[in-house]
Amino acid sequence: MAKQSIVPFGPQHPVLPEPIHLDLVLEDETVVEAIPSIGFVHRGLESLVEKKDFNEMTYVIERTCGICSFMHGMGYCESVEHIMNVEVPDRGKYLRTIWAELSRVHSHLLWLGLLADGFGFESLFYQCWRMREKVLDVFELTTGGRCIFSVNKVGGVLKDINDDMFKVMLDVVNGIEEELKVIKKTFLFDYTVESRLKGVGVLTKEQAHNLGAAGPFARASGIKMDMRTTGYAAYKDLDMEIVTSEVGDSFARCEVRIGEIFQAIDLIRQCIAKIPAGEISTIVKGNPNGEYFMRLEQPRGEAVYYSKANGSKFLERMRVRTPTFANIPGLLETLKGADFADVPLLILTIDPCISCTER
Amino acid sequence: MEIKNPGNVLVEIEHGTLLGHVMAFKNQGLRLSQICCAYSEEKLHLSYSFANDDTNEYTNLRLVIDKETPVCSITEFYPYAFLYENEMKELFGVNIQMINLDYQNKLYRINEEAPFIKK
Amino acid sequence: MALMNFKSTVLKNLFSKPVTRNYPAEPAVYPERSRGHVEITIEDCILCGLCAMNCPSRAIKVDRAGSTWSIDRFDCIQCGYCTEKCPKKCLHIVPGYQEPMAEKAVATYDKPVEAKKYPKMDADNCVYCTLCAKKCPKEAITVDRASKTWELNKDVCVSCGLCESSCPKKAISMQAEA
Repeated sequence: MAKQSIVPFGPQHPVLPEPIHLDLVLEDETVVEAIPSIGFVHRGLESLVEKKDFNEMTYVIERTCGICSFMHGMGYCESVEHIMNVEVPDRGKYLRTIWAELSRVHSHLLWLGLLADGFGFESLFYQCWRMREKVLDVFELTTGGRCIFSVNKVGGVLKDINDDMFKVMLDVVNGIEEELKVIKKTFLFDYTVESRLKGVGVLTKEQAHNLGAAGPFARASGIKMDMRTTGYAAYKDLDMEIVTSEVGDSFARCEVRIGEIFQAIDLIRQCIAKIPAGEISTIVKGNPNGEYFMRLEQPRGEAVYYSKANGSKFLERMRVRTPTFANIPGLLETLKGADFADVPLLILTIDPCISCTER
Repeated sequence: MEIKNPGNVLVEIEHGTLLGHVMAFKNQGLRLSQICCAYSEEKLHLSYSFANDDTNEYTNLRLVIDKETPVCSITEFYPYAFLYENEMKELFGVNIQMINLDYQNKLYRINEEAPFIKK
Repeated sequence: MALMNFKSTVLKNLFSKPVTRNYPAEPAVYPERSRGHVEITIEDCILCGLCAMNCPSRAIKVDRAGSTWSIDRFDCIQCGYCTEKCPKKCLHIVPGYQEPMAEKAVATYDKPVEAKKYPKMDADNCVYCTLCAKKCPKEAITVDRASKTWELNKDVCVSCGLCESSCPKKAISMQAEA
């Protein structure tokens, strides 16, 4: 038996800006086990429900994370709306869907860039983030914020998008689609990229299910799971096909995410074509009383928002279960048997968001 | 798009029957979606959520216990529950026993004991 | 599988202009909705304190006694909830981010105190009916019918204007001190 050694990885690592620490047990160059430890950025945002009323909490929950910020606010609002039996006007639902899908485009482009950076393709990284920048400009135009939008409220949304803005948005997503079709060739057909991704960190369908994986990470292993099929917001009126792959390696995860960008762009086009005129929010009266588990599909996978209210203006408990929390066990499995040099890349393939995870 | 949304199901269970229920769900092939705890009126409300990804059914087991009551870990059936259980143990001081990977209240590195329990 | 897939992108980038702006020589352009900082039209403010009560980061302070409205711009998270809550809609989020400073600073706005108005009696029209004295909530007005005198105690008067509206002869008008 080869000699075992333990190598600490993180929380500070050149490849990974996320503060996760792993103790890697190595045999020569191969990882045999990985023990995670998190908790470097735990802020206890959930306990703020004691001090902020349920309307103010929207802004707190939104600031859980800078990438899927809009979806956090949306999930929280939908959970409270379910408790209060508030029906958001159709235009409000469509606007939420548009912003949510744009968030998915920007999050996946960010991830593609990080992945390119992870396997050492700097110029590809720049190219991806250059596309992402255009999405951020659309966010700034329509909501006023580039990362944190603050447009959600219990009962609807705060800002409307006018036709001129829709025009700009369509131009931008069409442009991104064209550019991505070119960039896609580099990700999926390039010899050097393939040799870094193919066959690395394979997670079978059975393993993915047994480890409770979620989101693109699970879909790349062949699990047909997407919370958008529960039909929240405007998804019930839209057509989409869940993007999956049967392979389950890092390459498949990249492929699935690229497919999801095209899918999100298609959904945005459908929304803009179908969006009805009318109100964007309703007036909400009274305080919530009850509890609800709201599930929605974030760029990283299934997120659960649990709100428990007791009739006062302060919620009793607010919990966010973020997708990365569910994907860590799957990550540990993919690390087993991997090369030490592939560890940063494998951590990237689950698209970790530790600031979400620790809240 | 085909929409499947049967909604949330809440099953209130007695202390001591948890493992039986969890084993039944494991045999049905459900995925453990999350575990969380809420503190209300001097009681701990534990929710174990199981998802069926084919039908989108979402079943929540609700266990209401006193602060000190010991709860058996479900990591025997769902090994990946260890993160949720360590989180509950640290934030709410839930007395969870036999976790397969016990962080000994050091998951989030908080100095304060059970910070989410309102004093 | 192929080599040189990125070649076309490289060539395109090589012969096109940079996508980035030459900042700061060329200033940044913010769209109209950009959430830079909170601005107040202090004249319209009624110092109700709703913004301060609802601010998620408690950056706003309202002092009714000193009639000031202040905001710690470094605590403000530009969420815009105060502008939603303001009943007079005198708060606005406008483009332009807070510039960095060595220390946190609080921006304070004084609500201009309007000159206090007092009732003034026009002796030509007054019939000394004493209705104004009866209506006055502070008993600041004394009217003597017999000697035809009308007196005002300015220290007690709260400028409510009830005397003006109750006068049957419209002999009282609220006027600012000269």
